[in-house]
Amino acid sequence: MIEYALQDVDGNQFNLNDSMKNNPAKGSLTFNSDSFSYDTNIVENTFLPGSVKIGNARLQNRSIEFTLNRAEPNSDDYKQYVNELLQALSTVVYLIDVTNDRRIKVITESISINFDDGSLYHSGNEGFVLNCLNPYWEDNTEQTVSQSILANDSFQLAFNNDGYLEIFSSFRFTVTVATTLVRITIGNQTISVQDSLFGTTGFEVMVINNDAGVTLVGNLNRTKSITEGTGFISIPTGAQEIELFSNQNADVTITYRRRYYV
Amino acid sequence: MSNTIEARVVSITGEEVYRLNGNTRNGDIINAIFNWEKIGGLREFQLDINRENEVTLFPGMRWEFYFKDEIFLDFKKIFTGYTEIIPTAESENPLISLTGKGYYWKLKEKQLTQTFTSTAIGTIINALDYSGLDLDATEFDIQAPSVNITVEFKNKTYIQVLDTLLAVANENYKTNQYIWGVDENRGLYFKPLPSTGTDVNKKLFEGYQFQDPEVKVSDKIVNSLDVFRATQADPKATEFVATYNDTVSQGEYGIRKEKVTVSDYIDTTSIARLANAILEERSDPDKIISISNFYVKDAEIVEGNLVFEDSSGVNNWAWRTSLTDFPNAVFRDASLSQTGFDRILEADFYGISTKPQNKTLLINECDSLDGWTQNTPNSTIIINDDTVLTGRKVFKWARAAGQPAGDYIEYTLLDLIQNPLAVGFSIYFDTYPANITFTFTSSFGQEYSQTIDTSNTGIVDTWLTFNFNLPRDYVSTTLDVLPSAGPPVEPLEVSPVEAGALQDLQVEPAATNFQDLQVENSPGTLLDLQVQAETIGTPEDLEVNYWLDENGDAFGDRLDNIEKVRITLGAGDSNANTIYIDRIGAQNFSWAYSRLTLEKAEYNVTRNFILGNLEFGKKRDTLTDQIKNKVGKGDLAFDMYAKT
Repeated sequence: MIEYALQDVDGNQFNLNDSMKNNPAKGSLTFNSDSFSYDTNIVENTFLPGSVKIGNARLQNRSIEFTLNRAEPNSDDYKQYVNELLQALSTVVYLIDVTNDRRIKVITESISINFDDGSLYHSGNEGFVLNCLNPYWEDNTEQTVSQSILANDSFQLAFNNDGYLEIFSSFRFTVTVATTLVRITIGNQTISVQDSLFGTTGFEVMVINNDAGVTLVGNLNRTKSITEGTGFISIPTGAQEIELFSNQNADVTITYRRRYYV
Repeated sequence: MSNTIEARVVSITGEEVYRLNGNTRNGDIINAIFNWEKIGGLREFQLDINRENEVTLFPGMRWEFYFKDEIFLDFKKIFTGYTEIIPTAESENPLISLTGKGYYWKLKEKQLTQTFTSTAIGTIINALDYSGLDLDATEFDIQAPSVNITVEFKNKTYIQVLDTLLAVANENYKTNQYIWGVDENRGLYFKPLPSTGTDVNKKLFEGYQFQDPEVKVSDKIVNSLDVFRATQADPKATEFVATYNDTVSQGEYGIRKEKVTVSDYIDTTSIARLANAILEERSDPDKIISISNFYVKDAEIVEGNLVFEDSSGVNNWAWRTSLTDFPNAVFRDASLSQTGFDRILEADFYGISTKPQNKTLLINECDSLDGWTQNTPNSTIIINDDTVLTGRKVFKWARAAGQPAGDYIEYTLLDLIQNPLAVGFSIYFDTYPANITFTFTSSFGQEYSQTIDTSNTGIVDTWLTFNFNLPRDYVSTTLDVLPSAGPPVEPLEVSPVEAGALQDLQVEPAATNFQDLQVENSPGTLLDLQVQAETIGTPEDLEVNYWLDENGDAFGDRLDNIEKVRITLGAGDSNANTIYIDRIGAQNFSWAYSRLTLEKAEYNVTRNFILGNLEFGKKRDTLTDQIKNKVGKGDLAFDMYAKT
């Protein structure tokens, strides 16, 4: 039985599983449906039979539907439970798969409460639909890989993305002297940063965050130091070679969360 | 972002009459829209306010708009405007919709009739009488170029006067662009854009800071101007001044001519400056990128150097801490630039990167020898149109029979091509084949060369277009090397990481701490390597890395970028050679980067956030439409508005 929780921006979790039913254990929570939609551009062939796909298909947002079946001895207890559930649904940022340590970014789309016959705020089915802002699950716990590299010596780091989608990771470079060029290449993708502050006192750490689309040097947003023609990159699935380059010795830490469809 | 906006109604003497809050609890201000332009600043604003609040509305109200951010716990004035018309009180609409203007429009209320003889632009601006316009002279920021102008203004509004002065000041439009406007403190400014050279204010990336941009390229090119001006004797008559040309643009796009009539008398030198400004601005196609729903965020603050200031603004001390340590204190990051995106974007250049795609990029069209260095003692190279494949011209390279190898030409790119995947070029051998080598070099000294010699095939008198994929696959293996002075060891056989990689290694006796190695790439072909270990007797890891070309053969360096291309002639034979070269290009997978000015912005302020609709790069209709929309008849008019 997979256990789920709703997590708010402060990391507080509201467990969805309960003891209403013993078979299956931990409850009345039912994962009703998980629907996916793709953004595709398909046009009819002008004179040959069939149609063609233009561009790449893109996984759009998706919806997850849950129901719960709660009953309380009295209406006060039931109202308290509904208030807590609605509060959690109003503030949710992530749906957490506690069992597999995964999370998915969500927003509550709708909530419905259907009371059992003859009951008023005593027992009922509580259903809610979560709109998944990112249509994939990701590791709840961040993974890291570290590597020290030498100045002016491209280092090929073997990396295995054993998730099911590309990863948008963070690369953290730590240096001790002024470092004017940092570059990361994965296949055809390259991001290069040339920053005059990096490596000077107080600015020994550069973070290239490919998920948030920002490059920090110390505490400053230095996204404008990204070399023209290069930009944020992703790590495809499978075994990859990540080429790391710095014109000074550097310690590199890659922070990432693998991604999954379910 | 809550508590986004506060509007303060201020009297003409600066007394605060009323304060309206966008606070979600009180809800005085429901929505606000601000229209801003690079030239002029705030143009218009619209405000929806709750009718049930008790604000007193009166004509000529000055509105000061403050955006509040939760980080610095402070309000910052962003716009100042004024309202002229007050909505009727009889409406049943629960919202009052106010429309107002930026103080830019105040400069239309006064006119100037005056002649300035060889007067600096800044002096003219400072000499204007701004009384009655409700501007704050103490906030003026006039940084005009040191350029003198002789001009006769006849019944021109101050907007028309400033536009004319701006047109002359922008002589070097590409490298030093000026703007003018009225800022949030009602101060008139006339100054250059902050970012120079290739610098930008911020870089924005599609998929991150913005989504789904609209990208257009305008082909409204102007590279030849016939300029007329009003005469000194009779301002209603016009006289021809001169024709001004951008020959480089004409060579590329053909002649694109427009007629310009300046409705004031301006000295010829200033006319030349004005014409140059137009040509610099208009002689190349314009790119326009429109971004909708740009999320204007609070300024960011992260752990780092923070400074306490007392009420006098003196720094008390600085330390590294986190905001959670002192959540209720007011922090001023006095020594460092404010991080993150500010509440609105200022007038400046921005780097806009749209999503990465496979692209074919031009290295050189071979229409001009500008930018090429030549070392051709035994040959001649000219621009020619005998046989053209692309563009308008080609290189024609000729030499007599029996010339030695080595003549070359070399071109350094203005912008590096990052991470190239392939290179291509076209060659035409006239009557006889020849040996010619293209070498592409990166800024790191990596090289990729291809030699074309059709002697074997006999293919001549036709254009040949070549495309070569650059080495991409990478092979790596690691060996333990024990430097020693001992006898040679048996050849080591190493299992390759990829098929077709290292074959054999031979280790030879070492002197001191050097180890000589040979790599046999293919049978009988040995590559010499020498490895220096840190300490004799200490095992060292030897990592052998090299690239494979498209045939899977060991190549050498991969190109991280393309900085230069060099074309070298091989040795001649008994025949004279004529070689035509056209279009050298490359392919890569990269973000498309554009350095553009922020021209217009519309900020939509709701209770919870601010969204901007931004326009980078200048949208153009014809020059006539542009001026028709911008100023009244009789100003810097084009074509049909010329006085006769």
